[in-house]
Amino acid sequence: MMVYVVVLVVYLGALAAIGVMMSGRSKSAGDFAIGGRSVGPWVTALSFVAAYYSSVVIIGGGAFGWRFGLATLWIGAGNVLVGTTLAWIVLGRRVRRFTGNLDAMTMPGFFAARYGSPQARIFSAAATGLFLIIYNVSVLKGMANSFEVLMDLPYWAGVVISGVVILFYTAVGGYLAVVWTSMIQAIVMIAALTLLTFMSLQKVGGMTALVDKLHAVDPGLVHTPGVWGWAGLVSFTLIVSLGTWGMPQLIVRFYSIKSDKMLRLGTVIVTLGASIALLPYLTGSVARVLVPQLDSADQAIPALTALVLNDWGGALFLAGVVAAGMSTFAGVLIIIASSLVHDVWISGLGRKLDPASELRANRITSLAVGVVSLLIALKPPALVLVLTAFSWAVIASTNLWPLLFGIYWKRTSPAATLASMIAGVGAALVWQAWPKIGLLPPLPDGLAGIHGFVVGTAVGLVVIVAGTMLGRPAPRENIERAWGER
Amino acid sequence: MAPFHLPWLTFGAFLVLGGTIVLAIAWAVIDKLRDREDRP
Repeated sequence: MMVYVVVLVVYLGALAAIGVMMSGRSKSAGDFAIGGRSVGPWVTALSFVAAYYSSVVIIGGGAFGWRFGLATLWIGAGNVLVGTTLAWIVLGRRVRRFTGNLDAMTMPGFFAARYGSPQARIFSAAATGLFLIIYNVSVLKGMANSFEVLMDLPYWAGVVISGVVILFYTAVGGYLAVVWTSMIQAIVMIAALTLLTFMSLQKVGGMTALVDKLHAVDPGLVHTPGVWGWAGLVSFTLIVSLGTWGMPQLIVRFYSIKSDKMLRLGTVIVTLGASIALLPYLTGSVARVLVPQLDSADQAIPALTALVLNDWGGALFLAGVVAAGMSTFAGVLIIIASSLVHDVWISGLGRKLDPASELRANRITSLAVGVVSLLIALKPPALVLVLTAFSWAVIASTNLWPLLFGIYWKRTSPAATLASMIAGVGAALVWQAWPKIGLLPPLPDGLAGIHGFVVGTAVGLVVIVAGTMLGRPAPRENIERAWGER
Repeated sequence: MAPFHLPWLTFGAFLVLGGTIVLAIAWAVIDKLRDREDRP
């Protein structure tokens, strides 16, 4: 226990110190929100990995591996290929250039400037802000559960300890503190997951022994799609992979990188770093063999940690889980704060703020949003992964197509963009709520496993393409500015 | 049967991971060469 306390105190103290160091470099709202577009490739790439993989992915991914076996490795492979490498190649350069040309600091701000549509800005800011808070609650819950299991701390103490440290360094140091702490957190996560994977594979007798033992438990734990089935496996992989293309806390990394050229090295680094995505699913499968009797699949990774790691290893792993949660939470806080202040308060409601007041407003808003998330997390609703997947579905359905079409198709219509956001979110919500609406007939078996994200994005895609064919493009001035032609 | 007694369809996840790393490196190299060619 003492070892855990020492490791965590040193680690959390270092994060707080980075917040203080970076506070002097956040002199404007632009510095607070996107680090003044001055961040290098290593910090950008590793902070992307840390913001992408929250504690929910480690604990929840392990739970999926425990329940569904090795087919879940495909989720990790999808995270690396679609959620990371293709996102960097397809979106990185254009998002950086366009947001620079349009002087946009947030995703809703980009929609307003690119499409000349204040409605798209407000809708995106509202949907994204609301569901990011829900997402943050689930991230905080995941961290507190880890404290609970690995350190025997009460749930509320886990929420308060992690919440207070994040709020401190985010409000004080802004985006630069978030990306620098995230880079360190990514390194801790990579070390922790690698150690757990190595030790647990050694304990089970190696990879081949793992496969043989899983096969003996149930052949469906070795085959793809196995016990999960195609609908569940494919739609979940899509949510957590393609979904990143519409997640503002990840896309903002492209705004803030120092130059286009740095995206090259960044793409290689981020791909290598993101490869740890397969490890929670692999170790979850190991846990199915080594700790088969559990009350809940969410206990798979903590139970495996207690079995195969000594106190120092366990403390490093807890630090890794906490790191994963903190970096995601902090990245999201910055996005919500800058979106509320810049998109809703200043641009939406037309309030004027001088630069010093805007910076102060960002700090206060990030604190307020963090405290709200913390209070909700103290009495949390429903299951961790259900909440996360649900909020991802709504946020990605809102932003994915308007962003992608906005940087590749000049003709994209502002009205179609807004309609696509509303229809996408509406379809995702209705689909998720369908089984709970008694008046509607039950979905056929083959369709019931499809997640609302798939339905929401499919509807959003049809609406934005059809609407653009029928509607008018954005004003010429907006298009020329976005493409850097004026 | 693929390595580690895995079915090929499950082992494919590791192949996709390896292919993605190669893709990232190849893209970075090609992008750099293209940039050099574009320079006057």
